[in-house]
Amino acid sequence: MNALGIIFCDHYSENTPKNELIQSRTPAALPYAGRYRTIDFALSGMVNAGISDIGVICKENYGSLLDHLGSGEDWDLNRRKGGIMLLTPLSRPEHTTATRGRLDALRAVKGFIAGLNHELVVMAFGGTVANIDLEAMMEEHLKNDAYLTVAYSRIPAGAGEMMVHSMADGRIESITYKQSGTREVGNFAIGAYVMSKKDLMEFLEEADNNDYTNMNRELIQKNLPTRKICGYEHNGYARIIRTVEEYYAASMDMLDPKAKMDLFAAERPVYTKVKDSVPTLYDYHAIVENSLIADGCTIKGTVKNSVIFRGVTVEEGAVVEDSILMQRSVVGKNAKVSRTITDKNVTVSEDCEMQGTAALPFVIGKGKKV
Amino acid sequence: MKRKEMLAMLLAGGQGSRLYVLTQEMAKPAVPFGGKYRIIDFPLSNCTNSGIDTVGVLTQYRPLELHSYIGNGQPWDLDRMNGGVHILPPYVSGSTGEWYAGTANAIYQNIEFIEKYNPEYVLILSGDHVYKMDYSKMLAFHKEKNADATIATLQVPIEEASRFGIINAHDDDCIYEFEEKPPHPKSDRASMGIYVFTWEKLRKYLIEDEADPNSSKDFGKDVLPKMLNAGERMFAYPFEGYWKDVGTIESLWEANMDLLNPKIPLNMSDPDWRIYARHDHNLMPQYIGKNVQIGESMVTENCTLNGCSLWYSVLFNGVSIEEGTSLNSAVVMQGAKIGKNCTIKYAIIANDAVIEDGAVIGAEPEHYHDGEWGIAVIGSGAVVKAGQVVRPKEMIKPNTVKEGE
Repeated sequence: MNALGIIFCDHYSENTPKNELIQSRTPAALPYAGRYRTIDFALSGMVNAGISDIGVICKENYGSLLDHLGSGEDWDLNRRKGGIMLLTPLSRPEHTTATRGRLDALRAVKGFIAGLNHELVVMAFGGTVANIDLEAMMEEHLKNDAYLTVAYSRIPAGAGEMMVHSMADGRIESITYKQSGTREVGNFAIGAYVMSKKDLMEFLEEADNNDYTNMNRELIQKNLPTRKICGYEHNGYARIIRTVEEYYAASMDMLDPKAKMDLFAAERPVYTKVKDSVPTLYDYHAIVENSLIADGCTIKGTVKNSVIFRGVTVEEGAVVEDSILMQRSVVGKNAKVSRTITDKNVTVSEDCEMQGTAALPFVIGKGKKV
Repeated sequence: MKRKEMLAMLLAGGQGSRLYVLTQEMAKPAVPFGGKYRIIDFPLSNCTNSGIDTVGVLTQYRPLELHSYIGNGQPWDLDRMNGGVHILPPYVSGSTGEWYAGTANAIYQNIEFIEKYNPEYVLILSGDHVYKMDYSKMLAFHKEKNADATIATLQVPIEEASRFGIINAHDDDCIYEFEEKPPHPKSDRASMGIYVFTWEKLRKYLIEDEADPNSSKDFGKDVLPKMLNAGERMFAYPFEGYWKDVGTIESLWEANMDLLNPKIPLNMSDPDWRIYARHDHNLMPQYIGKNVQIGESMVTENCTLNGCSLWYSVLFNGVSIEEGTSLNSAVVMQGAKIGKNCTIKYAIIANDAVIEDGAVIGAEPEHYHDGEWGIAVIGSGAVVKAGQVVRPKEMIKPNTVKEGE
C-alpha cells in the first residue's frame, strides 16, 4: 500500500514513570523476548504491510537504537529509494525542545512528510509490543472513509493510558484516561494511527499556527464531535510497556506458548537485527525448565521460568529463577538470581544472591558487577 | 581496476557422493553443519577473516541451494564494490562450452575471471572441510620461501597417513615428493587441499595441462606433479589446529560431535575469528519446556523441547521434540519434527523430516560387529511412520515414507 510510516520512540508523557531500564535507552530500544527490541514490532508491522518509507522520530538516548537499526538491512529497508530515515532532534533545531509532546515532534518533521508522495500515513509507537495487522487497519480506514483511525486492544494497562469508547459502528465516541495503577482490562489505544497524508498535513498546518503540542487533545479529543474518528480493534497480544513491572510481566507472558504464537504470528514475521552468535551450549549439569533462551548462551547451571538473551553465561551451580537476563550477562558459580532483571553485560559474582518480587523485580543496571 | 594481491578460488562443484542421501538435492558445500552453518561458511569466513575480499566460487553439481545461500555474499562481508564473491558455474562460449572436467580445468576455464583482478597470487580452496585458518599467514610463508606453489599440510597420526595424500618435504619444508594414499607412508604430513600459487606460474601450467590429452585435469594428480617434475619451488606449509574433511556420513557426524567436546580446538564463538552464516531473519529464541533433561548439547533458535531428554546432540533451528522422546548423539537439522516416545541414537536427521510417535532410529555401536554398524540417516522431508524402526547404517531417501510392509 502507498503509505508512509512514522515511528515515535518516546512516551512524550508529562509524568513518565520511573523505569531504570529506559534511563539509558529510548523506550523503543528496550530489549525484549530474548533477542528483540520493542521497535521491531512497529518496524516489522510496517514492512509486513508493504511500507518501505519509514521515519523514526527519536528524542534522546538513541545510541542503542542507531546501533540496532544500522542500515535497516535486517528489515529489508536498506533501499535506494526510501528505507529508514532517522529523524533526530538536531535535524530540526527549531524543535529541539521536542519534549513538549508527540505532536510537537510530528510538527518538526512536517517537511519530511510533505516531501514524500504517499496517500496514507501510519504512525506507531516503538514501545508497543504487538503484532498489529497494519494492512488490515489501513484497509478499514479507507473503507470507513475515516479522518483518523486509532488502534486499540482489550488489555490491562497502566495509569495514564488512553481508553477509547466506541459506538456500534466503530466510531469513537469519547476518550478517557486511566487514573489508577490497577491492572484492570479495558479498550486501550496501543499507539498506532492511520490518517490520509492530506488530512495530516492540514492538521499540522493548523497545529503550527496555534502551537499545539498535545496530540491526543488536539487531534483526537477536539475532533471527535465533527470528524469521523474510528477505532480498529487489534485482537492479538498487546502491551504498552512503561514501568519495570509492566516490562517484567510482558516478558514472562512469552513463556506462555499461546501468547508467544500470537505475538510472533507466522503470517506476519517479526524481524530483528541478526547477530552471528553460535548455538546455545548446554553443559552436562544444565537443568532447564520453562524458559526462553536465545543463541550464543552457555548454560551450566539451573534456569527456570526465565527469559535469557543472547550470549548469556550461567555457571555451574548457579540458579536462575523467574528472571530476565539481558545480552552477555554472566551469572557466576553458585550464585542465586530470582525475580531479577539484569541489563546488558551485567556480572553477578560467585555465591552472590539477588532476589526481587514480581511487583518489584530487582534491576541491575547496564554493565554493573554485583 | 585496482590490482588484488591474492584472490581465492573455491572449488564447490563436488557432488559429495559419499554423503549419499544428504547430497541428493544439494552440493556438498551446502550441507548444513553445527546447528546454524553450512560447510562452505568455513572457507568463506576464513577468507574474509584473512583479509581476502575477492572469492570465485566454482559450482557445478546441484547448484541451486548453494547459489541462493551465497547470494550477494553479504553475510560474509563479501558484497564489495571492487571484488566480493562471484559465483562461477560452467558456461558455454560460442559453440564450445563444457562442464568442469576436473579441479584444474575448472580454474583453467576461469582464467579470464582471475585476470580481471590481475592478482599476484591465487589461493585454491575446497568447500568440504571444517577448519579455521588464517590464509594471510600461509601467503606470508609463500612469499618468505619465494615459492611458486605452497601446499597446506596437517600432521596426521602415522597409522592413518595411508588414507591421505602425503607430502614428503625436506627440513626446510621444500617438497620433493607426493604420494597419494601410500601403503607405507614416509611422512605424516597430509595435504589439506589448500594451495597458494604464484599466478603467473599457475597460469602457465594450467594452459599446458589443458593441452595434454592424457591429463585428468586435476590439481593433485596432474598439475602439482608436473610442477614438481619441472623443478618449480614447492613448499609444504605446516598448519596447526582443527581440520576435518567432512566427506562421509561418519566424518560429518563426528565433526558435529566435536563441537560438543570442549577439548577439541574448534572454538566457534571466538570474536576474533567468527564463522559467519546466512541467518533466517524471523526466528524466536528456543523454548525449553517442562521435564526436559538436557546436557552436552547444542540447541539453536526456534526449537521447542517438551518432556524429552537430549544428550550429546546438535539441534538446528526450528526443531521440535515432544514428550517421552530421547535423543543421544544425534544431529537434527532445520525444521525436523520429532513426535512422542521416540528413541533416536547415533543418527543424522535431515531438514524437515518428520519422525512420528514411537519410532526407533539408530543404535549404539557396542552391540554390533564391525561393518554392521553405522550412523542412521533420514533424508530431508522424509517421514518415518509411527513405531517404525530405522536400523543403524540404514538411510531413508529424501521425501520418502518409511512405513511397515
